Order: sequence, then structure tokens, then C-alpha cells
Amino acid sequence: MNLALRNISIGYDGVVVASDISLDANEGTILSLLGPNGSGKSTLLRTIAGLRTPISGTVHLDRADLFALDEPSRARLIAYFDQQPSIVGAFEVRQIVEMGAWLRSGSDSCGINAPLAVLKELDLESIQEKPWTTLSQGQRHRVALARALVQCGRGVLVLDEPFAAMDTRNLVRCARAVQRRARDGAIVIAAIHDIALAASWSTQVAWLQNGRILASGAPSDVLTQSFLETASGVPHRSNGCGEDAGAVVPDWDAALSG
Amino acid sequence: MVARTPWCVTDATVPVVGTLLDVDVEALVLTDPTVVLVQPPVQGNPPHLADLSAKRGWNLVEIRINSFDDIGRAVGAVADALEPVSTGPLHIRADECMERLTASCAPIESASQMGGVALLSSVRDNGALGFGEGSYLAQAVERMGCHVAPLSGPFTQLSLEEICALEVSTLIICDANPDERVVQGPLSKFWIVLAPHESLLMPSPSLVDGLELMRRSLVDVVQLMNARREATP
Amino acid sequence: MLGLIAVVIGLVLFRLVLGRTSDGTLSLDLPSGIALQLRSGAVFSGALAGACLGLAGLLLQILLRNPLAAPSVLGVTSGAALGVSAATVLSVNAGSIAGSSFAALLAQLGGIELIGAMVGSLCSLFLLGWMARRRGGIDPISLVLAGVVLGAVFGAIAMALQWMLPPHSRADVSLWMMGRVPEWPNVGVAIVGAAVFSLVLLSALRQSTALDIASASEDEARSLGVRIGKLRNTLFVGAGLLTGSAVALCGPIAFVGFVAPHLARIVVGVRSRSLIFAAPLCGIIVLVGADVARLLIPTSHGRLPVGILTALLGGIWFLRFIGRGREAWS
Repeated sequence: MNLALRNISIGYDGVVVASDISLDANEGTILSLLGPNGSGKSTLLRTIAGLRTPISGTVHLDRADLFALDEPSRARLIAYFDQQPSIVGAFEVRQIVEMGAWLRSGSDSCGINAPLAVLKELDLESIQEKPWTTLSQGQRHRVALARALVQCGRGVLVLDEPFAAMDTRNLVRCARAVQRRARDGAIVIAAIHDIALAASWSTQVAWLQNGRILASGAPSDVLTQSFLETASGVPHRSNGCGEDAGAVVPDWDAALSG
Repeated sequence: MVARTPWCVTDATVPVVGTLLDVDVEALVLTDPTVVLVQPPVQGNPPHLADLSAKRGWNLVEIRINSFDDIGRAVGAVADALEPVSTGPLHIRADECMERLTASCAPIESASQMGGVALLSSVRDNGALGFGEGSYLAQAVERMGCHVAPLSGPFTQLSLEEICALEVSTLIICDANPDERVVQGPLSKFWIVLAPHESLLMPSPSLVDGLELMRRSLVDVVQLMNARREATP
Repeated sequence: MLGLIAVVIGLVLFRLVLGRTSDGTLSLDLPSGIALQLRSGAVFSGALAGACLGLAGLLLQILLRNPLAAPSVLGVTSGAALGVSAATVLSVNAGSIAGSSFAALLAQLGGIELIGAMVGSLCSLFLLGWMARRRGGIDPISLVLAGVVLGAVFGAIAMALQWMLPPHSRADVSLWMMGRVPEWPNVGVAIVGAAVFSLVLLSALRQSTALDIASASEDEARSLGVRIGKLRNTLFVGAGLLTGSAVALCGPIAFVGFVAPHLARIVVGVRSRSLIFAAPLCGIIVLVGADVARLLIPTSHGRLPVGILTALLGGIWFLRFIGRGREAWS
């Protein structure tokens, strides 16, 4: 399985936000999309998920043109996690997670992507009967992620800031769950704002800024101190742990004392 | 006549000066009337109309036409009010008018034997508006010697079931377009008199014509009922 | 759900045995003959209009993702009423000119009300949908405001049309505007209403899971595989036709379509599969219940128009619902 973006331009109301975007992702890839606020990460993700038609360019999954597919066929290939999951009505956690499986026929074996298995994996079992209206933001995000895993645990997962509202414990649980899907052959594309997390979690990163991809490649190649300082204008330092001196993170002391 | 309401169709060239609830005072002043005839609404006359009349020396005459007797009195009152400005034999015409009105409601022979009568308008698939005691139409029909079914008020919305349960033989329907399906359906067990709604629902100079027509129909119904009664031993 | 059905059966039976004479005396008896026919007619009209409005309200609330939505809140009922007024004025004028047999046949079949109400409600829904989508979405309160303004505009045009009618017809139309429960319902209107209800019910039932998912944001619903455009278009039209049928039968009755889905959610929860049955049942309970209530309320002018009761009940519920704040539903 191969997801290929070729010369994509995105924007709305005729205003181009980013252009000339080309990216490739194969089975097992976790591609983190990084970049400042408003750089077009969410719009790009929506385009990859087939929800927005790009101004120009193509998105192909293997040989299939994404925008030529209808919603159900696309939904069998690509799941999308919205950074602000919403649902009107007091649906219960389990009902929402099961929505991910509605297109599947009963005979499909779904193994670790079965609703019950995912509920358990993301520690939602104990709240599976709680209505959405009573959930915290972090819980809601976990529910929406669970639904995406149920829907496309073996396809393409397009995740827009999936971990932003989660506590560390649940973040790790969820990040590992996604990693597991990638190991099983899924393609993961996620917008992430935590650079250190992206560095450890992803197999590839792409940096979107000023309307184009500034850099892309393996995290250790892209997320160097000099690149990050140029791109963000904030002093960075190595966090000093891990095999190759670990990830580079903002040097908060230096940045805030200046 | 120098001014009228939009409902007054006597002379369409006369300017309209609004309704009593919404008087166009400026237009009214421009027409410079001598006499202003008003039919006061439930809430009473607008106070400024009385002030204005006093100031400009208009003769403001209130005419009530709720009951049948009111209508008779109104004819006299109008004649009195217009006497000073009229050139014709007003009171003679008023007397003629009253005579015709009385004649149009003359008792019908053996009307008491026809059983009760109900007066309806707006006959629809969910019922009709019934005219009860206290309405001038019911009083006119009573004068003809018919027994009008008692209702809870002068104007009562009745369901079809309530109409069917009335102890009457005849329905008088004053309606521009009664629901034919209803008249021929659940109401078909009654004798039906279709009365001219234009002249009956609003007291106007043509009221007498409407009453005469209605009376003629009722006479026909009484005769038909008698004929049928004689035919069945 | 069984409880709802039991309440419906109970109300229907009560309406059938409850009698009221013209002087306001109540009686309990099993009628026969014409009285039974008339009471059955009233039950049928109330039940059909209530079911239509309940389902229409449910579909609008789900498709617009707005628990405040309902045909009357969004001005759809007013649009249908305007359609009927316009059709009435046209037919009054056309009747005097042509008096053609076709017009007479149309009137006999209730065609004037039916066509007017259908066209009116579909046009107002189209307008509303266009407004809601023009800027890629509209928040619940703004949508309700838009509906209120639409309702006021339609009401003003309807008033202008009434003004053009002769005085006696005018009183007739203003009474029609208060809502009614026909005891001798027009067969044509009844058949069309029942057919519309069955079709929309089946169509909604076939798409009940998609309707659940459509409660999520449009992006999420589409990414989950819901053909949201098609779903919206078909069931929006369905809701319009349902409202049109109800208005053609019972006049512009307010708030039944708002109350019924909420009542249904309290009883059966949020799943569309159950709500699609429960909301119409609750609509029947509200409307037949209001019809029973107006028999029990003594007045000197006859039975209260049914729309007054539903608007009182629904209006209070609506205010209470807004008072609870948006946390309660999203």
C-alpha cells in the first residue's frame, strides 16, 4: 500500500495556503506533520482524508484516485480523526466507537480492531456506557481515536492532533496503539505539535511552513537543532537522552529569560 | 358620503379613511365630514376620535348592531343623524326600510312544527361556527317562528360531532364555500338551507334581501316536511 | 417503546369514548354510527399529523445537528401555511374567473391545501438549507434565529394575502391558522399524508445508522462513510413533505415537531433506529393528547383550537431547554 501526494495546492475561498506539496507514505509509515499554527496542517490532512478537494494536484492510494471514490469506498480505506471531535446527542462511548464498524459486514474478522478489543486497548471499557455529553475533552479524543482504529486499523489513519488533550498515561497508551497498527501495515499521517513526541513516535516527519514543505525525512535528519531554531526562531537544545543524544526540544529557560 | 371603510362597497369612488381600529385621522380631517357614523368595537371607540369630533364639531354617532333590535334602532339612528344634512325624505325611507325588515322576518306558518334549526357558517371538516341566542341572525330566525338550537354563546365553534348531536331538523348554512364533502357526509341527515352569506353575515342594506331569501327557503323546507309527513301515514 | 404504544392506545381509546355536547357537558360512552365515525376521523387526523410532525422534527434535529430544530421553529410550518394561503387566494380568484371542473375536482381532493402546503414547506426548507450551507455551516442559535425571521416574513406575507380576502373568508383563514383536528378528514389529503409518512419512515429506517453517524460533524460523518449530501437532500425533502402533509391536514400546528423527538429521546435514548418509531408515537401522544385536553377544558366559545395548546406546551418546553444551556446536548 502506498499513499502518494503529488503537487498538492490547498486553500479555501481561492486563497492558496500551501502549494507544491508532494509526500509518499508506505505501509508501516508513521508520518508526523509538523509546523506552526495556521500553516495548513489541518487542511492538508483533510485533503489527504478526501474531505477537501485540493486546488490542484492528486492524492492516490495505490492506483486509486482518492477524489474519484465515493464516501463509503473511501471510508473503507482511510479513517480521519478530527482535532475537535463532536457529536450532538448523548450517545454512549461504545455506540460511538461501533460507528467505526458500520460499513463492515458481519463476516469480516477484525481481530484487534474489533470495537470491544479497541475499547479495552484504549482503557475505555469502564466508561463504555457513559454518554458523550458527560465526557472530558481527553476522554472524547480517546473515543474518537478508538473509532478511527476500529474503522481503519489496517488502512490509512489520518489523525489531526490526536494526543493534544491527553494526559501522559493515556497519550502513551494511544500512541502505542497507533504504532501497533503501523507495524501491522497501516499508514499513519498525523499532525503533532510536540516535537519530542514526534521524534520518538514517527518514522518520518514533514515540516510545513510558509506555504510549503520546508523539510521531510527521517526525524533524526530533519529535526536538527539548527533547523528547528531557524524554522521556529526559538533556541533549542538536545534533551540529552536516548541513543543518539535524543530529540531536540525548545530551550525554555533560554527562550523565556531573553 | 365623503369617506368610508374598506368594507363599505356602496360607492367605490369615495376615499377610504381606514377602519375604526386604525383610523387615518389626517385623511378623515381632509374629507371634512358633518356626521361620523361608527360601530364601536369591543374595546370601545378610540378616545382621540371623540376629542377630535368635539373639537371640529362633527356629530359622532355610535351605532351598535349586535342584536336584531339593534339593527332596527340603527336605521332610525342613522336617519336622525343624517336629517340635518339630507335633502331627501330620510325618515320615510327609514320607515320603509323597517317595514321591509319586519316583513322579511314575518312568522312562517307551522314553522314550530319543523323542529329545531341551527345557524352555521364556516362549515369545514373540523366543525363550524354556530350562531346562538344573542346573535342577530338567530333572533331573525326566531322571529320567523323557528326554534333555534341553544348554544353556549352567540358565536360558538362547534365540532361536527356536536352539530350531529344537536336536536334540530334543519341547518341554515351561511358560508361562501362550505365544505361540500361535510355537507353531503356527516351533515346529510339534516335539511340544509344554503343562505346567502354576503348579505347575512354583515348587517348592510342588502341584509333584508338575504333574510327574504332565507325565509323563502325555510318556507319551502316547511312545505316539503309537511308534504312528506302527509305522505307517510 | 411498548410503554409509548400503550399510552397511544390508551389516549386513542379515551378520545373515542369521550363525548362532549355543544353546551360543554362531558360524557363517557361507546358511540355508534356517525359519532363513532367522526371521533375516529379526529383520532386519525390527529395521529397522522402528530406522527408526521414528530418524524419531521426528528429528521431536522438530526440533519441540522440542532436539538432546537423543528418545522415550526425553523419557519417551515409558516412557509406551508403561506403556501396554503396563497393557494386559497389563487383558487378564490381563479374560481370566480374559470369555475372549471378541474379546479372543483382539485378542491374536492384537498388539492389546494395539499399543493400549497407542500410547495410552501419545501420552498422554506430549501431557503433554510441554502442559508445553512452558504457559509459552510451555521450554529444552532443562529439557525433558530434565521427560522424565526423566516417565520415572521412568511407570516407577514400570509397576513397580506388574508387582507386581500373578503372579510368572511378572512375570519375563516385566521381560524385555520390556529390549528385544527378534522373529524371528517379529506380522503385525498389523508392518503397522501399516510403515503408520505410511510415512505419517509422506511427511507429513514434504511438509513438509521447513517443518521446516527450524521450526528457527528460533517467531516467526521463523511470520513466514516456517510454520503451526507445525499442523506441530507433526501431526508430534508422528506421532512418538508411530512410538514406539508401535516399542515394540509391540521393547519400550522406549532411545536409538536419540537417536543416529540425530545420526549422520544427521554424514553428510548438517542439511537435513530428506535427514535424513528418513538418520535412519531410521541407526536401522536402530544397531538391526540392536546385534542383530548381541549375537550376537557371548558370554554363558552366551543373547543379551543388545538394549536393553542401545543404551542403553550411546546413553548414552555423550548424555553426550559434553552435555559439548561448547550452543555446538555453537545
